Amino acid sequence: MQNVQQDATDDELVELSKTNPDFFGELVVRYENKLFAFVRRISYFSNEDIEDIIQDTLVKVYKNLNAFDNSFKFSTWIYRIARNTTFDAIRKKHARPQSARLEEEDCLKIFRSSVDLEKEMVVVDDLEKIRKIIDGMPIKYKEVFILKFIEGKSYEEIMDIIKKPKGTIATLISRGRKMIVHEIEKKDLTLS
Amino acid sequence: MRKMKKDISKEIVEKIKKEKIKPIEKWKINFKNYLYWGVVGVFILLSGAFFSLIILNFTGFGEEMFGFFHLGRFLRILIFTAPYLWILAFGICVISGVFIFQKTKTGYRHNVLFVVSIILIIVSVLGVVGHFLRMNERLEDGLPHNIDHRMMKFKKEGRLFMPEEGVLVGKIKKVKEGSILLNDPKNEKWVVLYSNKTKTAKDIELKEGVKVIIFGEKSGDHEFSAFGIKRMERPKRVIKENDDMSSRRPLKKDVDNLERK
Repeated sequence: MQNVQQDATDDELVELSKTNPDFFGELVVRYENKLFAFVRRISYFSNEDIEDIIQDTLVKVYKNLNAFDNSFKFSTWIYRIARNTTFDAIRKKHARPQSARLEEEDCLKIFRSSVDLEKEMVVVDDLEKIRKIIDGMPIKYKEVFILKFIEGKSYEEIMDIIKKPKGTIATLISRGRKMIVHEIEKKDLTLS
Repeated sequence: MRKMKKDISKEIVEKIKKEKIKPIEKWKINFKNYLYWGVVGVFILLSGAFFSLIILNFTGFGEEMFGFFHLGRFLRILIFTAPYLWILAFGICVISGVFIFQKTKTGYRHNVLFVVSIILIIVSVLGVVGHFLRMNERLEDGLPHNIDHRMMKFKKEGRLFMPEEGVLVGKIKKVKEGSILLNDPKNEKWVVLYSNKTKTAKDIELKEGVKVIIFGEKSGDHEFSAFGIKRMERPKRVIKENDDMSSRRPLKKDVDNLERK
């Protein structure tokens, strides 16, 4: 069974999990850390809270296995449930998700992907300033940036995760980039 | 990348087994989606019905009205007589349809403008078909006849009744040489004066009981001079007496009669 679990695709494991929860364990192993990192990036919660969110997410996933549609990627579907569960938890705590803080490495990833460094001639040694720029972005932009530049999701996948049309995703990325460039100029990160 | 501290996979599997959690049945999950589609369908049908009522209102005048009034008055009459209730209901149904469509399983994938355009095309086709099949007339006939005069604006005859603006509607009570006695929607009597200069629609026979729209001018208290007279309702379909019925599908009662013989 161990080999079957490891060789099976996500879709196959979904089908097998419907009758035997042990197969679901393999799906959990495949996604628990990815989801943990994702929830951490879009929320400000402590590790313990995030673990609870992941647990809730996975139970929801199991309960809704029959809702999984093969036309989606399983990873897209599980990210969507994790995102919704996280936002529900944020709402329950009556807190704004804007306070989420990204790791330095993540901030730089977003920053480098958003700005044409050669063209903008940006000095990237002031990490704290860069972090402030990225952390200061509204969650709707930040979330798309995290999915695109850190999680490496395609436009279609982001569309299915946040349930917004592709055009809206493109607009959010474009506006977010402009926002970053504007902040770079404001914070004097550009060499003239 | 930070990782989870505990081995959650074992915990989850144990929880599922211990609490005997089962995946929700497929039909229960799909039910919500089918319900949304059903509601979208209902809103599209309602929008189509309201659109056909709007068409009915605007086609009620006919192009001949252009000839009787100058553009300013023509536009004023159009604005005054517009079926705002139907327009509002139409707008609400289209917006609700679009909103519910986006709640369907993959509804979010489509751009709102695209969805609105598609729904408007479908609704327009339904409205036009409804108009040609005279469903809008049947719908309007379905409204109560003994309606309070304050509610008359919801009916076409109530909206069109604007003698001060030059439009009078009502049912002919009596036809005399040079004048017609008319009952307006408030059941008040009017004397309509006409002459051989008055343009009368080809399909109309001026006789008692016929509902008419009269374009003209108020010439006194409950007196109106007609420039043009038009039927308010399209003529009903009449089966000719010598109609060849051989191509008609036999009705059940025809078959029963034949068997009895």
